[in-house]
Amino acid sequence: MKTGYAITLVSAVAAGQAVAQDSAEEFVPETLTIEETISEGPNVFAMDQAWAGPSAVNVLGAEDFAMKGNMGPGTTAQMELSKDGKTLYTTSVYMERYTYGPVTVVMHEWDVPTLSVRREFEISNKLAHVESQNALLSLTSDEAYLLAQNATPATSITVVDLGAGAPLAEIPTPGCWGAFPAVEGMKFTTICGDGTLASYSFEADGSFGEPGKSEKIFDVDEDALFTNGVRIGSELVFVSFNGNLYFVDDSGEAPVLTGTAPLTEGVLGGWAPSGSELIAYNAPTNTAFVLMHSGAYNGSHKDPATEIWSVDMETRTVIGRSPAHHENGLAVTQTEEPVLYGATEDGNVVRYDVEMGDEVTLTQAGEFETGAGFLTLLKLDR
Amino acid sequence: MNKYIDRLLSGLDKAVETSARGSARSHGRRSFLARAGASVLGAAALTPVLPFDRRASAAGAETADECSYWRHCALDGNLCSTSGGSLTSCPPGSSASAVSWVGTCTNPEDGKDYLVSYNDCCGKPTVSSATFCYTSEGERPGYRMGLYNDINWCMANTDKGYHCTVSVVVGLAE
Repeated sequence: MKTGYAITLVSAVAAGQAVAQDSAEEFVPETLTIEETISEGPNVFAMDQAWAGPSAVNVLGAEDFAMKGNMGPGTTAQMELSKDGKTLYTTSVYMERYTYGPVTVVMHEWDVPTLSVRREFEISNKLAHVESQNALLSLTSDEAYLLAQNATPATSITVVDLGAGAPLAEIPTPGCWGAFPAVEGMKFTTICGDGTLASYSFEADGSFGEPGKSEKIFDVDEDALFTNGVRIGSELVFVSFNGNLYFVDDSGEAPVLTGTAPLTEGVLGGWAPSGSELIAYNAPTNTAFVLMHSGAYNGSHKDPATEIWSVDMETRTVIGRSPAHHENGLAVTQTEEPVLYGATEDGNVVRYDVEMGDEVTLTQAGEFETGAGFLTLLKLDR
Repeated sequence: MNKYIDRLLSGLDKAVETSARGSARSHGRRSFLARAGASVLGAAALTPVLPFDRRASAAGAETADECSYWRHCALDGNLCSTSGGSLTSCPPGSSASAVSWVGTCTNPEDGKDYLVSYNDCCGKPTVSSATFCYTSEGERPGYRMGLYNDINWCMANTDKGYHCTVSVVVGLAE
Protein backbone atom coordinates (compact mmCIF):
# COMPACT_ATOMS: atom_id res chain seq x y z
CA MET A 1 0.00 0.00 0.00
CA LYS A 2 2.78 2.38 0.94
CA THR A 3 4.62 1.62 -2.31
CA GLY A 4 1.56 2.34 -4.40
CA TYR A 5 0.99 5.60 -2.54
CA ALA A 6 4.62 6.63 -3.12
CA ILE A 7 4.36 5.99 -6.84
CA THR A 8 1.20 8.02 -7.03
CA LEU A 9 2.79 10.84 -5.05
CA VAL A 10 5.90 10.90 -7.28
CA SER A 11 3.70 11.06 -10.34
CA ALA A 12 1.71 13.90 -8.89
CA VAL A 13 4.85 15.85 -7.99
CA ALA A 14 6.29 15.35 -11.44
CA ALA A 15 3.08 16.60 -13.01
CA GLY A 16 3.03 19.52 -10.60
CA GLN A 17 6.57 20.51 -11.58
CA ALA A 18 5.60 20.57 -15.19
CA VAL A 19 2.68 22.84 -14.44
CA ALA A 20 4.84 25.00 -12.16
CA GLN A 21 7.43 25.52 -14.87
CA ASP A 22 4.73 26.64 -17.22
CA SER A 23 3.30 29.15 -14.79
CA ALA A 24 6.32 30.03 -12.63
CA GLU A 25 6.00 33.70 -13.23
CA GLU A 26 2.41 33.79 -12.09
CA PHE A 27 2.91 31.67 -9.02
CA VAL A 28 2.63 33.57 -5.74
CA PRO A 29 3.26 31.56 -2.61
CA GLU A 30 0.62 31.86 0.05
CA THR A 31 1.53 33.63 3.26
CA LEU A 32 0.53 32.48 6.70
CA THR A 33 -1.23 35.29 8.56
CA ILE A 34 -3.19 35.79 11.74
CA GLU A 35 -6.52 37.57 11.79
CA GLU A 36 -5.90 40.76 13.71
CA THR A 37 -9.44 41.34 14.89
CA ILE A 38 -12.84 39.75 14.75
CA SER A 39 -15.23 41.00 12.14
CA GLU A 40 -17.47 43.88 13.11
CA GLY A 41 -21.03 43.50 14.20
CA PRO A 42 -22.94 42.35 17.28
CA ASN A 43 -21.85 39.17 19.01
CA VAL A 44 -23.06 36.32 21.13
CA PHE A 45 -20.59 35.08 23.77
CA ALA A 46 -21.23 31.44 24.54
CA MET A 47 -19.56 29.83 27.56
CA ASP A 48 -18.58 26.20 27.05
CA GLN A 49 -17.69 25.45 30.66
CA ALA A 50 -15.21 22.65 31.33
CA TRP A 51 -14.86 20.81 34.63
CA ALA A 52 -11.48 19.47 33.56
CA GLY A 53 -9.06 21.50 31.46
CA PRO A 54 -9.79 24.78 29.73
CA SER A 55 -13.22 26.29 29.24
CA ALA A 56 -13.96 28.23 26.05
CA VAL A 57 -15.91 31.39 25.39
CA ASN A 58 -16.95 31.13 21.77
CA VAL A 59 -17.77 34.35 19.95
CA LEU A 60 -20.52 34.11 17.34
CA GLY A 61 -21.91 36.69 15.00
CA ALA A 62 -25.28 37.62 16.45
CA GLU A 63 -26.94 37.78 13.05
CA ASP A 64 -25.53 34.83 11.19
CA PHE A 65 -23.85 32.74 13.92
CA ALA A 66 -20.53 33.05 12.09
CA MET A 67 -17.78 31.63 14.27
CA LYS A 68 -15.38 34.50 15.03
CA GLY A 69 -13.02 32.71 17.41
CA ASN A 70 -12.81 32.14 21.13
CA MET A 71 -11.17 33.01 24.43
CA GLY A 72 -9.73 30.35 26.69
CA PRO A 73 -10.01 30.66 30.46
CA GLY A 74 -9.40 27.72 32.80
CA THR A 75 -11.63 25.21 34.53
CA THR A 76 -15.18 26.01 35.79
CA ALA A 77 -14.97 29.48 34.31
CA GLN A 78 -17.34 32.37 35.00
CA MET A 79 -17.67 35.39 32.72
CA GLU A 80 -18.87 38.99 32.70
CA LEU A 81 -18.97 41.44 29.78
CA SER A 82 -18.36 45.18 30.01
CA LYS A 83 -21.21 47.48 28.99
CA ASP A 84 -19.45 48.48 25.77
CA GLY A 85 -18.84 44.86 24.86
CA LYS A 86 -15.12 45.48 24.37
CA THR A 87 -13.87 43.72 27.50
CA LEU A 88 -14.66 40.28 28.80
CA TYR A 89 -13.74 39.27 32.34
CA THR A 90 -13.36 35.66 33.35
CA THR A 91 -12.45 33.91 36.58
CA SER A 92 -11.37 30.30 36.49
CA VAL A 93 -9.46 27.57 38.24
CA TYR A 94 -6.10 26.03 37.34
CA MET A 95 -5.15 22.73 38.93
CA GLU A 96 -1.41 22.20 38.67
CA ARG A 97 -1.82 18.60 37.44
CA TYR A 98 -5.14 19.13 35.67
CA THR A 99 -7.14 16.97 38.08
CA TYR A 100 -5.07 17.30 41.24
CA GLY A 101 -2.40 19.35 42.91
CA PRO A 102 -2.24 22.95 44.09
CA VAL A 103 -4.87 25.33 42.71
CA THR A 104 -4.53 28.85 41.49
CA VAL A 105 -7.46 31.05 40.50
CA VAL A 106 -6.93 33.61 37.77
CA MET A 107 -8.91 36.61 36.68
CA HIS A 108 -8.44 37.33 33.01
CA GLU A 109 -9.27 40.55 31.25
CA TRP A 110 -9.79 39.86 27.56
CA ASP A 111 -9.71 42.33 24.72
CA VAL A 112 -12.74 41.31 22.73
CA PRO A 113 -11.80 42.78 19.32
CA THR A 114 -8.54 40.81 19.27
CA LEU A 115 -9.73 37.93 21.49
CA SER A 116 -6.45 38.36 23.40
CA VAL A 117 -5.47 38.53 27.05
CA ARG A 118 -5.05 42.16 28.06
CA ARG A 119 -3.96 41.30 31.62
CA GLU A 120 -4.33 38.59 34.21
CA PHE A 121 -3.72 38.19 37.93
CA GLU A 122 -4.42 35.72 40.70
CA ILE A 123 -7.33 36.12 43.06
CA SER A 124 -8.50 34.12 46.06
CA ASN A 125 -8.39 30.36 45.54
CA LYS A 126 -11.73 30.14 47.36
CA LEU A 127 -13.52 30.76 44.07
CA ALA A 128 -16.54 28.51 43.72
CA HIS A 129 -16.12 25.66 41.24
CA VAL A 130 -19.64 25.87 39.97
CA GLU A 131 -21.80 26.09 36.89
CA SER A 132 -21.49 29.55 35.40
CA GLN A 133 -24.28 32.03 36.07
CA ASN A 134 -24.62 35.78 35.79
CA ALA A 135 -24.86 36.26 39.55
CA LEU A 136 -21.56 34.50 40.21
CA LEU A 137 -19.33 37.06 38.49
CA SER A 138 -20.58 40.62 38.04
CA LEU A 139 -19.37 44.17 37.61
CA THR A 140 -20.41 47.01 39.89
CA SER A 141 -22.41 49.73 38.15
CA ASP A 142 -19.32 51.90 37.54
CA GLU A 143 -17.41 48.86 36.28
CA ALA A 144 -14.61 49.60 38.76
CA TYR A 145 -14.97 46.35 40.72
CA LEU A 146 -15.66 42.71 39.98
CA LEU A 147 -17.67 40.60 42.40
CA ALA A 148 -16.70 36.91 42.39
CA GLN A 149 -18.58 34.18 44.27
CA ASN A 150 -16.53 31.97 46.63
CA ALA A 151 -17.44 28.65 48.26
CA THR A 152 -15.25 26.47 50.48
CA PRO A 153 -18.23 25.58 51.05
CA ALA A 154 -18.49 28.64 53.33
CA THR A 155 -19.64 31.46 51.07
CA SER A 156 -18.09 34.86 50.52
CA ILE A 157 -17.58 37.43 47.77
CA THR A 158 -14.16 38.46 46.52
CA VAL A 159 -14.13 42.12 45.47
CA VAL A 160 -11.58 42.73 42.74
CA ASP A 161 -10.31 46.30 42.27
CA LEU A 162 -9.92 46.54 38.51
CA GLY A 163 -8.08 49.89 38.74
CA ALA A 164 -5.44 48.42 41.02
CA GLY A 165 -5.48 45.07 39.29
CA ALA A 166 -5.73 43.18 42.57
CA PRO A 167 -8.25 41.72 45.00
CA LEU A 168 -9.58 44.39 47.38
CA ALA A 169 -11.56 42.45 49.96
CA GLU A 170 -13.25 39.18 50.83
CA ILE A 171 -16.72 39.82 52.24
CA PRO A 172 -18.23 36.87 54.13
CA THR A 173 -21.81 36.21 53.02
CA PRO A 174 -22.70 33.17 55.16
CA GLY A 175 -25.69 31.23 53.91
CA CYS A 176 -26.16 33.49 50.90
CA TRP A 177 -25.51 33.06 47.20
CA GLY A 178 -24.88 35.36 44.24
CA ALA A 179 -24.10 39.03 43.96
CA PHE A 180 -26.47 41.44 42.23
CA PRO A 181 -24.77 44.84 41.89
CA ALA A 182 -26.72 47.90 43.00
CA VAL A 183 -27.77 50.59 40.55
CA GLU A 184 -25.08 52.82 41.99
CA GLY A 185 -22.28 52.71 44.49
CA MET A 186 -20.14 49.92 45.86
CA LYS A 187 -22.95 47.67 46.93
CA PHE A 188 -24.53 44.34 46.03
CA THR A 189 -27.50 42.25 47.08
CA THR A 190 -27.46 38.50 47.70
CA ILE A 191 -30.11 35.79 48.30
CA CYS A 192 -29.96 33.96 51.64
CA GLY A 193 -31.07 30.53 52.81
CA ASP A 194 -33.30 31.89 55.57
CA GLY A 195 -35.58 33.44 52.97
CA THR A 196 -34.13 36.92 53.26
CA LEU A 197 -32.08 39.06 50.94
CA ALA A 198 -29.09 41.02 52.18
CA SER A 199 -27.30 44.10 50.83
CA TYR A 200 -23.59 44.55 51.43
CA SER A 201 -21.62 47.77 50.93
CA PHE A 202 -17.87 48.22 50.81
CA GLU A 203 -15.44 51.10 50.63
CA ALA A 204 -12.56 51.85 48.29
CA ASP A 205 -10.10 50.95 51.06
CA GLY A 206 -11.58 47.46 51.26
CA SER A 207 -13.51 47.99 54.48
CA PHE A 208 -17.12 46.85 54.79
CA GLY A 209 -19.77 46.79 57.47
CA GLU A 210 -22.71 44.64 58.49
CA PRO A 211 -25.24 43.87 55.75
CA GLY A 212 -28.70 45.35 55.54
CA LYS A 213 -31.00 42.30 55.95
CA SER A 214 -34.56 42.22 54.66
CA GLU A 215 -37.54 40.70 56.37
CA LYS A 216 -38.24 37.13 55.25
CA ILE A 217 -39.18 37.40 51.58
CA PHE A 218 -39.59 33.82 50.37
CA ASP A 219 -40.00 30.30 51.72
CA VAL A 220 -37.00 28.17 50.75
CA ASP A 221 -38.93 24.91 51.16
CA GLU A 222 -42.26 25.92 49.62
CA ASP A 223 -41.34 28.45 46.94
CA ALA A 224 -37.58 28.75 46.52
CA LEU A 225 -36.08 31.48 44.35
CA PHE A 226 -33.86 30.76 41.41
CA THR A 227 -30.59 32.66 41.78
CA ASN A 228 -31.10 34.50 38.56
CA GLY A 229 -32.46 37.98 38.72
CA VAL A 230 -33.11 40.80 36.31
CA ARG A 231 -32.94 44.43 37.22
CA ILE A 232 -35.73 46.87 36.45
CA GLY A 233 -34.69 50.25 37.80
CA SER A 234 -34.42 50.14 41.56
CA GLU A 235 -35.91 46.65 41.70
CA LEU A 236 -34.55 43.15 41.25
CA VAL A 237 -36.99 40.59 39.91
CA PHE A 238 -36.61 36.90 40.77
CA VAL A 239 -38.49 33.82 39.62
CA SER A 240 -39.60 31.15 42.10
CA PHE A 241 -39.84 27.39 41.64
CA ASN A 242 -43.66 27.65 41.62
CA GLY A 243 -43.75 30.34 38.97
CA ASN A 244 -44.08 33.51 40.98
CA LEU A 245 -42.20 36.71 40.33
CA TYR A 246 -40.76 38.46 43.38
CA PHE A 247 -40.07 42.20 43.11
CA VAL A 248 -37.42 43.44 45.53
CA ASP A 249 -36.31 47.05 45.94
CA ASP A 250 -32.64 47.10 46.93
CA SER A 251 -32.09 50.86 46.73
CA GLY A 252 -32.23 51.34 50.51
CA GLU A 253 -30.10 50.02 53.33
CA ALA A 254 -31.97 46.70 53.35
CA PRO A 255 -33.90 45.04 50.51
CA VAL A 256 -37.67 45.33 50.63
CA LEU A 257 -40.24 43.07 48.93
CA THR A 258 -42.53 45.34 46.96
CA GLY A 259 -44.77 42.73 45.35
CA THR A 260 -45.23 39.32 43.80
CA ALA A 261 -46.94 38.21 40.62
CA PRO A 262 -48.06 34.66 39.79
CA LEU A 263 -47.32 33.49 36.26
CA THR A 264 -49.00 30.09 36.42
CA GLU A 265 -52.14 30.79 38.43
CA GLY A 266 -55.15 29.25 36.65
CA VAL A 267 -52.96 27.71 33.93
CA LEU A 268 -53.59 24.02 33.32
CA GLY A 269 -50.78 21.54 32.74
CA GLY A 270 -48.60 21.89 35.80
CA TRP A 271 -46.40 24.56 34.28
CA ALA A 272 -43.39 25.83 36.17
CA PRO A 273 -40.15 27.68 35.43
CA SER A 274 -36.96 25.71 34.96
CA GLY A 275 -33.40 26.01 33.80
CA SER A 276 -30.33 27.85 34.86
CA GLU A 277 -30.31 31.40 33.50
CA LEU A 278 -34.06 31.17 33.05
CA ILE A 279 -35.17 34.81 32.86
CA ALA A 280 -34.10 37.63 30.55
CA TYR A 281 -35.41 41.19 30.40
CA ASN A 282 -35.64 43.66 27.54
CA ALA A 283 -35.85 47.19 28.96
CA PRO A 284 -37.04 49.10 25.86
CA THR A 285 -40.21 46.98 25.64
CA ASN A 286 -40.42 46.30 29.40
CA THR A 287 -40.80 42.61 28.60
CA ALA A 288 -39.36 39.59 30.41
CA PHE A 289 -38.91 36.12 28.94
CA VAL A 290 -39.06 33.02 31.15
CA LEU A 291 -38.18 29.37 30.44
CA MET A 292 -41.07 27.06 31.33
CA HIS A 293 -41.89 23.33 31.35
CA SER A 294 -45.12 21.41 31.95
CA GLY A 295 -45.86 18.50 34.27
CA ALA A 296 -43.68 19.96 36.99
CA TYR A 297 -42.64 17.74 39.92
CA ASN A 298 -40.24 17.94 42.85
CA GLY A 299 -36.85 18.11 41.14
CA SER A 300 -37.91 19.26 37.68
CA HIS A 301 -36.70 22.83 38.25
CA LYS A 302 -33.67 22.28 36.03
CA ASP A 303 -35.46 20.57 33.18
CA PRO A 304 -35.01 22.07 29.73
CA ALA A 305 -37.78 24.37 28.59
CA THR A 306 -40.66 23.38 26.38
CA GLU A 307 -42.08 26.90 26.19
CA ILE A 308 -40.84 30.45 26.60
CA TRP A 309 -43.34 32.79 28.23
CA SER A 310 -43.33 36.49 27.55
CA VAL A 311 -44.30 38.71 30.47
CA ASP A 312 -45.42 42.33 30.32
CA MET A 313 -43.63 43.79 33.33
CA GLU A 314 -45.97 46.77 33.45
CA THR A 315 -49.07 44.66 34.06
CA ARG A 316 -47.00 41.71 35.34
CA THR A 317 -49.00 39.30 33.20
CA VAL A 318 -48.13 36.64 30.63
CA ILE A 319 -48.75 38.00 27.16
CA GLY A 320 -47.29 35.23 25.04
CA ARG A 321 -46.37 31.56 25.06
CA SER A 322 -44.08 30.18 22.37
CA PRO A 323 -42.46 26.81 21.73
CA ALA A 324 -38.96 26.40 23.17
CA HIS A 325 -36.14 24.14 22.03
CA HIS A 326 -34.88 22.56 25.26
CA GLU A 327 -33.18 25.71 26.51
CA ASN A 328 -31.52 25.99 29.91
CA GLY A 329 -30.53 29.60 29.54
CA LEU A 330 -31.71 32.84 27.93
CA ALA A 331 -30.30 36.22 26.95
CA VAL A 332 -32.05 39.09 25.18
CA THR A 333 -30.75 42.19 23.43
CA GLN A 334 -31.47 45.67 24.77
CA THR A 335 -32.59 46.87 21.36
CA GLU A 336 -35.96 48.46 20.57
CA GLU A 337 -36.81 45.30 18.66
CA PRO A 338 -35.65 42.53 21.00
CA VAL A 339 -33.80 39.50 19.74
CA LEU A 340 -33.85 36.53 22.08
CA TYR A 341 -31.13 33.85 22.32
CA GLY A 342 -31.47 30.49 24.02
CA ALA A 343 -28.76 28.08 25.17
CA THR A 344 -29.99 24.52 24.76
CA GLU A 345 -29.14 21.45 26.76
CA ASP A 346 -27.54 19.97 23.66
CA GLY A 347 -25.13 22.89 23.34
CA ASN A 348 -26.95 24.81 20.62
CA VAL A 349 -27.68 28.51 20.46
CA VAL A 350 -31.16 29.34 19.18
CA ARG A 351 -32.13 32.76 17.93
CA TYR A 352 -35.70 34.02 18.17
CA ASP A 353 -37.23 37.01 16.50
CA VAL A 354 -39.71 38.71 18.80
CA GLU A 355 -42.94 40.11 17.44
CA MET A 356 -44.29 42.57 19.95
CA GLY A 357 -47.94 43.55 20.34
CA ASP A 358 -50.83 42.76 22.63
CA GLU A 359 -49.59 39.21 22.28
CA VAL A 360 -45.87 38.49 21.96
CA THR A 361 -44.79 35.83 19.49
CA LEU A 362 -41.35 34.26 19.28
CA THR A 363 -40.22 32.79 15.99
CA GLN A 364 -37.12 30.68 15.65
CA ALA A 365 -34.83 32.51 13.25
CA GLY A 366 -31.69 30.42 13.49
CA GLU A 367 -29.85 27.73 15.37
CA PHE A 368 -26.15 26.99 15.72
CA GLU A 369 -24.61 23.79 16.97
CA THR A 370 -21.68 24.99 19.05
CA GLY A 371 -20.61 21.46 19.86
CA ALA A 372 -20.18 22.59 23.47
CA GLY A 373 -20.16 19.84 26.05
CA PHE A 374 -21.62 22.16 28.68
CA LEU A 375 -23.10 25.37 27.28
CA THR A 376 -23.79 27.28 30.48
CA LEU A 377 -24.16 30.96 29.77
CA LEU A 378 -24.74 33.50 27.00
CA LYS A 379 -23.72 37.15 26.97
CA LEU A 380 -24.73 39.79 24.40
CA ASP A 381 -23.08 43.08 23.47
CA ARG A 382 -26.15 44.97 22.37
CA MET B 1 -49.70 8.66 51.79
CA ASN B 2 -50.46 11.23 49.10
CA LYS B 3 -46.99 12.60 49.53
CA TYR B 4 -45.58 9.13 49.07
CA ILE B 5 -47.57 8.53 45.91
CA ASP B 6 -46.65 11.90 44.53
CA ARG B 7 -43.01 11.19 45.07
CA LEU B 8 -43.24 7.74 43.57
CA LEU B 9 -44.91 9.12 40.49
CA SER B 10 -42.44 11.91 40.20
CA GLY B 11 -39.71 9.31 40.43
CA LEU B 12 -41.18 7.46 37.48
CA ASP B 13 -41.38 10.65 35.49
CA LYS B 14 -37.81 11.40 36.30
CA ALA B 15 -36.66 7.98 35.25
CA VAL B 16 -38.02 8.57 31.78
CA GLU B 17 -36.77 12.11 31.62
CA THR B 18 -33.33 11.24 32.90
CA SER B 19 -32.96 8.38 30.50
CA ALA B 20 -33.84 10.61 27.58
CA ARG B 21 -31.56 13.40 28.58
CA GLY B 22 -28.66 11.41 29.93
CA SER B 23 -27.49 10.44 26.51
CA ALA B 24 -27.42 14.02 25.35
CA ARG B 25 -25.10 15.27 28.05
CA SER B 26 -21.57 14.11 28.45
CA HIS B 27 -20.11 16.08 31.31
CA GLY B 28 -20.49 19.06 33.55
CA ARG B 29 -22.73 19.40 36.55
CA ARG B 30 -25.85 21.41 36.45
CA SER B 31 -27.43 20.47 39.36
CA PHE B 32 -26.07 19.74 46.47
CA LEU B 33 -27.92 19.28 51.55
CA ALA B 34 -31.10 18.94 53.34
CA ARG B 35 -34.65 19.63 53.42
CA ALA B 36 -34.18 18.09 56.80
CA GLY B 37 -31.74 20.84 57.55
CA ALA B 38 -28.74 18.56 57.45
CA SER B 39 -25.39 20.20 57.57
CA VAL B 40 -22.36 19.63 55.47
CA LEU B 41 -21.01 16.28 56.44
CA GLY B 42 -17.45 15.15 56.82
CA ALA B 43 -16.40 12.14 54.84
CA ALA B 44 -15.24 10.42 57.98
CA ALA B 45 -18.81 10.40 59.26
CA LEU B 46 -20.15 8.77 56.16
CA THR B 47 -19.48 5.13 56.75
CA PRO B 48 -22.69 3.63 58.08
CA VAL B 49 -23.46 0.05 57.19
CA LEU B 50 -27.21 -0.25 57.41
CA PRO B 51 -29.13 -3.47 56.86
CA PHE B 52 -30.64 -1.61 54.08
CA ASP B 53 -27.34 -1.42 52.21
CA ARG B 54 -27.04 -5.18 52.13
CA ARG B 55 -30.57 -5.47 50.85
CA ALA B 56 -29.77 -3.02 48.09
CA SER B 57 -26.85 -5.16 47.03
CA ALA B 58 -28.95 -8.30 47.10
CA ALA B 59 -31.54 -6.61 44.94
CA GLY B 60 -28.98 -6.44 42.19
CA ALA B 61 -26.21 -4.16 41.10
CA GLU B 62 -27.95 -3.43 37.84
CA THR B 63 -30.57 -1.15 39.28
CA ALA B 64 -28.01 0.67 41.36
CA ASP B 65 -26.23 1.60 38.15
CA GLU B 66 -29.33 3.33 36.81
CA CYS B 67 -30.26 6.90 37.48
CA SER B 68 -33.76 5.82 38.44
CA TYR B 69 -32.41 3.86 41.44
CA TRP B 70 -34.14 5.40 44.43
CA ARG B 71 -31.10 6.63 46.33
CA HIS B 72 -29.91 8.62 43.33
CA CYS B 73 -32.92 10.99 43.64
CA ALA B 74 -30.82 14.18 43.83
CA LEU B 75 -27.62 13.11 42.16
CA ASP B 76 -26.02 15.30 39.54
CA GLY B 77 -22.90 13.57 38.34
CA ASN B 78 -21.27 10.36 37.16
CA LEU B 79 -22.01 7.19 39.11
CA CYS B 80 -18.91 5.87 40.87
CA SER B 81 -20.39 2.38 40.53
CA THR B 82 -19.74 2.71 36.81
CA SER B 83 -16.37 4.42 37.27
CA GLY B 84 -14.48 1.67 39.11
CA GLY B 85 -16.02 2.15 42.54
CA SER B 86 -19.40 1.17 43.97
CA LEU B 87 -22.53 2.71 45.39
CA THR B 88 -20.64 3.65 48.53
CA SER B 89 -16.97 3.54 47.56
CA CYS B 90 -14.71 5.74 45.49
CA PRO B 91 -12.60 4.16 42.73
CA PRO B 92 -9.01 3.21 43.58
CA GLY B 93 -6.56 6.07 43.82
CA SER B 94 -9.18 8.75 44.19
CA SER B 95 -10.06 10.61 47.37
CA ALA B 96 -13.50 11.08 48.94
CA SER B 97 -14.77 14.63 49.19
CA ALA B 98 -14.44 16.13 52.65
CA VAL B 99 -17.87 17.72 52.29
CA SER B 100 -21.05 16.65 50.53
CA TRP B 101 -24.58 17.51 49.65
CA VAL B 102 -27.53 15.51 50.90
CA GLY B 103 -30.73 14.34 49.34
CA THR B 104 -33.87 13.00 50.96
CA CYS B 105 -34.95 9.94 48.99
CA THR B 106 -37.82 7.50 49.45
CA ASN B 107 -36.95 3.79 49.44
CA PRO B 108 -39.85 2.17 47.60
CA GLU B 109 -39.24 -1.11 49.47
CA ASP B 110 -40.24 0.28 52.86
CA GLY B 111 -41.71 3.67 51.96
CA LYS B 112 -39.34 5.43 54.31
CA ASP B 113 -37.37 8.57 53.59
CA TYR B 114 -33.61 8.33 53.98
CA LEU B 115 -30.88 10.93 54.03
CA VAL B 116 -28.43 10.20 51.25
CA SER B 117 -25.02 11.82 51.29
CA TYR B 118 -23.71 12.48 47.81
CA ASN B 119 -19.96 12.58 48.13
CA ASP B 120 -17.83 13.34 45.14
CA CYS B 121 -14.70 11.32 44.55
CA CYS B 122 -11.80 13.49 43.58
CA GLY B 123 -8.40 13.87 41.97
CA LYS B 124 -8.90 11.97 38.73
CA PRO B 125 -10.48 12.53 35.33
CA THR B 126 -14.05 11.46 34.78
CA VAL B 127 -14.65 8.07 33.15
CA SER B 128 -16.04 8.60 29.69
CA SER B 129 -18.22 5.50 29.78
CA ALA B 130 -19.67 6.25 33.21
CA THR B 131 -23.41 6.70 33.68
CA PHE B 132 -24.26 10.35 34.07
CA CYS B 133 -27.28 11.12 36.26
CA TYR B 134 -29.10 14.37 36.60
CA THR B 135 -31.80 14.32 39.24
CA SER B 136 -32.67 17.12 41.62
CA GLU B 137 -35.39 16.07 44.05
CA GLY B 138 -35.37 18.56 46.93
CA GLU B 139 -32.39 20.33 45.42
CA ARG B 140 -31.95 24.02 46.20
CA PRO B 141 -29.62 26.80 44.99
CA GLY B 142 -26.33 27.74 46.64
CA TYR B 143 -28.00 29.64 49.47
CA ARG B 144 -28.85 26.19 50.83
CA MET B 145 -25.39 24.90 50.14
CA GLY B 146 -25.98 21.51 51.74
CA LEU B 147 -28.71 20.82 49.17
CA TYR B 148 -26.92 22.25 46.16
CA ASN B 149 -25.74 19.95 43.40
CA ASP B 150 -24.42 22.35 40.74
CA ILE B 151 -21.06 22.76 42.48
CA ASN B 152 -17.89 20.69 42.68
CA TRP B 153 -17.94 19.08 46.13
CA CYS B 154 -14.22 18.32 45.80
CA MET B 155 -13.83 22.01 46.63
CA ALA B 156 -12.52 21.35 50.17
CA ASN B 157 -10.06 18.64 49.15
CA THR B 158 -6.40 19.04 48.29
CA ASP B 159 -7.11 17.34 44.99
CA LYS B 160 -10.09 19.12 43.51
CA GLY B 161 -10.65 17.43 40.16
CA TYR B 162 -14.15 15.93 39.93
CA HIS B 163 -14.14 12.15 39.29
CA CYS B 164 -17.54 10.66 40.21
CA THR B 165 -20.26 10.58 42.88
CA VAL B 166 -21.39 8.00 45.46
CA SER B 167 -24.77 7.72 47.19
CA VAL B 168 -24.28 6.83 50.84
CA VAL B 169 -27.32 6.36 53.08
CA VAL B 170 -26.50 8.10 56.35
CA GLY B 171 -29.77 7.97 58.24
CA LEU B 172 -33.54 8.20 58.35
CA ALA B 173 -35.00 11.54 57.37
CA GLU B 174 -37.90 11.29 59.76
